[in-house]
Amino acid sequence: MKWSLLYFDDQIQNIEAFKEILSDKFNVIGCSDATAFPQMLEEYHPNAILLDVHMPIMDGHTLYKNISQHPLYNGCPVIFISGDASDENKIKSYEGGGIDFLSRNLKIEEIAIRLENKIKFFTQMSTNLELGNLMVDVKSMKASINNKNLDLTLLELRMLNHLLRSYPQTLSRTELISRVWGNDSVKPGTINTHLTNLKPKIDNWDYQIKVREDNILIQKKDKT
Amino acid sequence: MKSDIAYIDDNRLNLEAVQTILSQDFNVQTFNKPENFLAIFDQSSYTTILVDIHMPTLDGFTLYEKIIEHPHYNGCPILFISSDDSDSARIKSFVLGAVDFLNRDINPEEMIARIKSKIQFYQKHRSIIEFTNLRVNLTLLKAYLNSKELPLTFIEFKILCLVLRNYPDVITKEQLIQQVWRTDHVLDATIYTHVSNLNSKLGDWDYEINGLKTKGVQLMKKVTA
Repeated sequence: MKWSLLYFDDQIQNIEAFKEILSDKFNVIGCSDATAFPQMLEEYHPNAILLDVHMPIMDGHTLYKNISQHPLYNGCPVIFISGDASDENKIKSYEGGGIDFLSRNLKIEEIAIRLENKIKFFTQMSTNLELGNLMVDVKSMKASINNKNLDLTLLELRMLNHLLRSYPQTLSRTELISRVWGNDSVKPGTINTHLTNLKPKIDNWDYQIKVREDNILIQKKDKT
Repeated sequence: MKSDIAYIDDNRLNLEAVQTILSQDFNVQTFNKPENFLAIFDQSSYTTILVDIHMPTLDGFTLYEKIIEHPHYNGCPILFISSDDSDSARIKSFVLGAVDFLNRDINPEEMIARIKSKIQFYQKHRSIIEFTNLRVNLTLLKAYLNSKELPLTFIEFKILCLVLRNYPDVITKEQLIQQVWRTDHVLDATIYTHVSNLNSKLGDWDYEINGLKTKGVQLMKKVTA
């Protein structure tokens, strides 16, 4: 699975280029019309939003203001990109709410890692986790599938929480144990017991938790 | 109120120069030895940590890892700062997970704007409740007293979060039942059992949860006899 990145740029060739060069880690959703942002927010739940600063009808800074006030904006990091790396443009982008500013001259390797970093910084903090029809709100400690509350134990909620936070990456058994239980010695088999108890509770989810040798992962269920 | 920033750099001239730039907007605490910073980390709380990369006794990358693994780390943004603006230093910083890399020689205004943008984002999304020496990390679903994890049950964890968020107000019995048990009716005796178990786990903390028979529960400072 890849991170989803919503990218606004009036130059379609820039969008096409980014789709190609970021394709290892990102699923780039491009949009060349800044005024279409409400439809884009309605249709996609991106992990991050990338905004070109110079656009003719609505510039990136104005677009950011509109997005940040929109009720469907999920709070994900917004990053600006521009060929104009002047101090003035950079400072305006940071002060305007961008968590990062990327100059187009940067190596693609650096662009990719900086985007991914901001996504990880956000998902580590975020208290609303959503995947398919499952929603976990850690602030009020509620988990629900199709808006129906799940009756989970604290350990089950912690396991689910960490698996969702690392998704789409997998977690090893030892990583999951150290995050859920701390560094205390817990037998690797204990996870199986908790996963077995958790399984029937999340039966209506579009995804499932799979154990593959030493890794624990979330996987979309096949539609039958 | 100014945000508290920690800045660790072995070079005193750098410490002074950066502190001068940032002191208008932030309250900067400087450390010229990473070991000194780690020694007081337990008793401090920062909204941002700036780490120099090249230091003789403990380099910035190692210090970064020590911070993020520390049980007292509150998840605040950690930024590297260096005059080594090579691709390899920058990429290594980002690969480790740092939220930004600051070239020490950039425009001071840009330095301030970059730090502020991280703090803003952090404060909007942070999910840590701090109350004196008690800390609840909602993304880990764990509670710590003096950096030691409290072995709480789910019910106790929920009660603790509720009283912390509402301090110093009283939480009515109805609110408590609805938000902790999510049902309509729970016996008074059940509530008080959970509250008193929670209080005993909080041990000799300066605060305790008082069960007010008619009204509800409330976090209060212990009265010393």
